Amino acid sequence: MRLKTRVAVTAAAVVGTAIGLVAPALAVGGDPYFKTDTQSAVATIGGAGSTFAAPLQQSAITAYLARNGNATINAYQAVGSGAGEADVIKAATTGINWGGTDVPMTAADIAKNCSSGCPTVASFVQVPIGLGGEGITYNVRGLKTGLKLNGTILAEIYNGKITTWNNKAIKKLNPTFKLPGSKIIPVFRSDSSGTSYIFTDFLATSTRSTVGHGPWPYAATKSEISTYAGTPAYGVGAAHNAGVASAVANTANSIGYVEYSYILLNKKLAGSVATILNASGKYLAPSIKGIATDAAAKPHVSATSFSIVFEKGAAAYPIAGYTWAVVWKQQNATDTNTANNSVASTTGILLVKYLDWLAHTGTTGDLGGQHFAAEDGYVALPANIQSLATATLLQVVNAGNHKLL
Amino acid sequence: MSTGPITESAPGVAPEGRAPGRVKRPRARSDGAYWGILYGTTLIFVVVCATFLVTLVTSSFSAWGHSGLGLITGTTWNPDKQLYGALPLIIGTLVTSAIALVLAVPLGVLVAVALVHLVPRRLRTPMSSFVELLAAVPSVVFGGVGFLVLAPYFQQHFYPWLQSTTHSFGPFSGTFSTTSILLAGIVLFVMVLPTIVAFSRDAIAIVPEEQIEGAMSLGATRWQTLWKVVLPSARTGITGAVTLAAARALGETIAVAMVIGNYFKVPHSLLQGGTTLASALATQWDGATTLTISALGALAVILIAITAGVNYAGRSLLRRANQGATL
Repeated sequence: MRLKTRVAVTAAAVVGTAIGLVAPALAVGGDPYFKTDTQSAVATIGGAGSTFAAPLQQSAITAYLARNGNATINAYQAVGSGAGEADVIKAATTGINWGGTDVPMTAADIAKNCSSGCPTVASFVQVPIGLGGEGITYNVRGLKTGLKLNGTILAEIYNGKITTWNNKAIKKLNPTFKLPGSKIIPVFRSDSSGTSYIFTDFLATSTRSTVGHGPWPYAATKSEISTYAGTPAYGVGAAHNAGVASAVANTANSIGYVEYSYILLNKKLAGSVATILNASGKYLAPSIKGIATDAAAKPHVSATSFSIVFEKGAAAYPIAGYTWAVVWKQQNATDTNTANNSVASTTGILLVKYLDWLAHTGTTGDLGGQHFAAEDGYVALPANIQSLATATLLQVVNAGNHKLL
Repeated sequence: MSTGPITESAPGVAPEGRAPGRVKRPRARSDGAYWGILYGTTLIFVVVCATFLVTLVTSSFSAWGHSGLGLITGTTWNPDKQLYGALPLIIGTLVTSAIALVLAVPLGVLVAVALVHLVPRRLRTPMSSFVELLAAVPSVVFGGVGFLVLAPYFQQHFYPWLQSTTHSFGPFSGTFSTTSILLAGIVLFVMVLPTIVAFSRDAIAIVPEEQIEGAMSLGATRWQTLWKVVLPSARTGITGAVTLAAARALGETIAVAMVIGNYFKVPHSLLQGGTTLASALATQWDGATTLTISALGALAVILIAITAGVNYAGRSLLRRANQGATL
């Protein structure tokens, strides 16, 4: 009992100090939290989930720990989006403070990971922490980079309707390319992945009802968009983005979808990247600018309306998506109503401050997490999404409903 | 150390009477510690195994409750839609292991015979150490070589040759890529070969020289001696080697995941991609929800059942062969 009181008093003191420090900074506007988080109370946090976000988390955590000597952030566990959600739902037993997911958590996701006394989606906040795109890459001898493809052709390659590289639909778009008659080998993700979700979301959105259903869940209905891409009519399955990248590089006549940074990392893939038809009728290769333009075309994203594939805009690259951090809204151990939530306030403060820092670019003298994102081949979050991250984190409270950020 | 008299028996000849441990004599003080330690270690072993099995089986309960026998007979695997049909995985497991053993058993046993009877004494030790070294190579290395070296070669040369020679006969029909069930079987063959060679060699080496010389003096040819004397005498050890090799092939995880194509459909050709129970455990673990983790537990249970079945079949085959020999 005594210990609990002491924790509560300490927590209250820390919260008070934090609010006191934050309040004047807020008045300045912009990215107000960079100066205040360098000396947090001694606390430890840790996250797990999306592999898409893993390189970002790894370099960001290192940079954050260098600026804040009191903080301990455990190594990010790249276990996949689904497992990240499960871990944060069961925070009391897993000790995970934030779950990384490429597809914001829904009530169904909570039900999958909880049998009784379950929280609701409203018990959590979901913060955008990263933005990335996907490139379509192929490995066909003699076929140069910049092959024009659209959602319909990609869908038909994956559902087995288009089987050879010299198919007339591909030929029609690429009259100047020397297309061989060899069989196309589609490479797909064999594990559950946000990358597959974004890809199937793009296929569903860009093809609408023009293709019809098939073994690959690209089809007309939104319900078939899936983190588990299923098994196409034919092809090679590989785990993780790195697995797909090396499978394409190693398999003649193959085609695959990978997170953009993996194309930058792999010279062989970077030499054969398709240009994809966007919503404004332009064929574009993936680029930081194209992904940023696509994201900017949909300024109001939220955890329930997060899809940014196939947005309008001549310069918008159409296969892109955000990655998110899922956090308990109420961060306090002494609240008996949130039995699942064992996070103390000092931990909660470090958590929201880290995520806020992560979601901002910062300034030249005071770099934020998004600066490191750009170094790792991600696209820095647009300014309005950086603000959205802060606004979302401001909803995180302790037992007394005091803001932690 | 031992206080009891131990009679040296000739190699290969069973000692007469009861084993030394069973000799009844006044219990010395140290015997208490002896039995205590033996009971203790056995108990630890049994508890560890039982805990492991019970945990695994209980973890799979919710998947069996959700899918029932559909886990074994179902053909669709899609964790996102909570469909856990493992038939393609079971078929993939059995087929890849069968390919590996069909290739590795005859080759491995003959290499073992050669190591004992053909290779000059001076080369025997380095060759044997090399075989043992191969058995200790991490499986990811075999997978890597299979993926980076064999797979592109197979796609460019081996599969087209196979299809033209067999006129795309059933198991060799259809579109192929780099990775396939056949490639997985061949990688497994390379992986289990050292196991078979090493254990068979030990079994063949202890076949008494007198028996071999006896057969030869009666006019038996080298082949006859091998078939009628050497292999029958060594069959217990060889069966053990094959059973171990089968267990390794059935349970191999990462090397198979790298070369089989991770394709979750019932295969209709060996040149097609596939998946196995063990490799699916590796590829499906990331992002698994509670129910999917339970389904993966169920896959492990099915795999253990298959391995146990193979083990039992090996033993009963051996028992029948031994009975035939004594008649």
